[in-house]
Amino acid sequence: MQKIKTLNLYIYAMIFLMIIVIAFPLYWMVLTSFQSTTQATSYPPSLFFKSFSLEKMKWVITETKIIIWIMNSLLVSLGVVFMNLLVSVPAAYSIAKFRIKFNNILLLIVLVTQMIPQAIMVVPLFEIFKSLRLINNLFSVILANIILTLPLGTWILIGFFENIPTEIEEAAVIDGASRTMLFFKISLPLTYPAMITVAIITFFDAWNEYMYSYTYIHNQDKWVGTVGVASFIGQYLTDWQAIMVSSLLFSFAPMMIYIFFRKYIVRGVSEGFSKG
Amino acid sequence: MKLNTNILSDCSNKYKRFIKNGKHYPYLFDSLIIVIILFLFVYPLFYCIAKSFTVDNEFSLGNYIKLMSDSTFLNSILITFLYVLLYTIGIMLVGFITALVIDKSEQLNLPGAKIFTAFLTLPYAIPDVVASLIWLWMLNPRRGVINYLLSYVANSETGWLTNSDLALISVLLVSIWRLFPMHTLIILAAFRTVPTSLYEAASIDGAALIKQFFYITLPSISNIMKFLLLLTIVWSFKRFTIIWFLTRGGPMHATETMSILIFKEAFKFFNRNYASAISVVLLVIVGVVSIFLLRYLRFQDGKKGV
Repeated sequence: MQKIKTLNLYIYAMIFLMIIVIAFPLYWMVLTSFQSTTQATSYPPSLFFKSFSLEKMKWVITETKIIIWIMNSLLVSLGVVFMNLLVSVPAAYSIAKFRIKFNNILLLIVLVTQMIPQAIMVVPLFEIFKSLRLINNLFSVILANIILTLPLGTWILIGFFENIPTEIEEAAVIDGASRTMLFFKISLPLTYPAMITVAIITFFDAWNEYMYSYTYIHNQDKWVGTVGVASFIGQYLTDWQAIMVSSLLFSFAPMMIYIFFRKYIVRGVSEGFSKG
Repeated sequence: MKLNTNILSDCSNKYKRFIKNGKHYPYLFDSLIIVIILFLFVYPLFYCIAKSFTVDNEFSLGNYIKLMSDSTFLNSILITFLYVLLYTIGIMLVGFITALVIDKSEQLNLPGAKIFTAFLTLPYAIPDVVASLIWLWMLNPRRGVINYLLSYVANSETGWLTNSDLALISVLLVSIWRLFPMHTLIILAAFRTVPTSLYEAASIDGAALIKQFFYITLPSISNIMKFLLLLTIVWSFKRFTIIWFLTRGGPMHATETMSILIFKEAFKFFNRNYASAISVVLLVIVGVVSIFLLRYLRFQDGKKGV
């Protein structure tokens, strides 16, 4: 019993140390954002809250276009989530259920797309979108993002579709279900949890994406959050408080999603990686 | 009884016929992804390869010949490999340690274990850009908090990102800080796949915890770990945003990986064809490394080895 107690103590100490190291940067962002400007940027800095102020927050929200950029990010991310599910769900169903040679090749190609560095695709896609007159259009960013997020989503969904017992489909066919019904009424409802997982992971990836958004969108009103927040470095070079406030505003949505939907992410990861 | 089996096999045959009759059915489901892959992957890829062999709108090997004597490019290969190697070692270690601690704390049912896990993996939710900006602020040589904290130990104005000896290390630390939670979660999931009966048997035999870890845990999760290793390496070749914001490849090309160099050549110097040639080289490197890893790691399961 005593031995377990000391072990607990060690583990608590480890956790405490790790949390300090890992969470400190986030704490620092919050601290810088909510102090009065003189306090936040003074040197030597104070490590704890000495004053509380929303002046910079107000300034950033009213004087910059951060809210528009975050809205654009939301639009793009939701668009990518929708398109990704639209493409990956049928493909994953097909790969999981129909064991034909073509599907093996398809799976291989899908996994290979995962290996392609983004920097390689950025120029060719730029030329394609230019000829389609999609430059400066958020739809180009959505399209470019799909190919980034597709492989992981398809991979996770394949695992879930494979886990549906064949007996269920057999029984449905014997009862006279058509192919369409088999997909829409049997398999699809059983994979809703997986789709939520894929949707969240895709959302994070799309929210995080910078290179495509930066190169394909030039109009300031159409910038997404990553580009907008990044532009602060150039514009307000030494105003670290403004940079931290915009960073905080921009990471608010994914942080909330992470805190409330963490179990879906964890489950997706476990399912995706525990297949053997 | 006999009748029953007849009905069963009859039903099974019906299902088999059902599957057989719909031969073109799978392609219907695949059609969307095929369009996407052709349009957003295959075409750009060939475009890139074609451009790499183009100088002044004519077929030429010029770009590749130029590459071989371009010291910036050769340097970027070296930096890329250095980054990939150190990053992979670092993130695997951090992932392992955090996963072990979380696993132990959840096993012992420590109060607050779930909240710890949430806290420890929080950087997963932070966008790359934001992570880079926070660290840029903290690592600021004159007003950053890191140098302030270190000033208790040594009086310094260390240029974490402007000193060419330190820049790569700083970039590595930030990358690992931003990305390790995924590794923690995956390794944690791997731990959970090991049957508890194995541990029980081992403790009855009197095996110490450390021994259990090396003789039971590690062998049982080796397949998942190999897969994770492969993904980590492939993904780290692609890293762009974090490096770009922290250093833009500088100082003196000390953190200029191939991804950074491609982007610079294409959008800063507008040598698109030259950038394409570098892209093709990077592609070949990633391909060769992946094939080598797939061969060398010898996955037990056929599917994971695809």
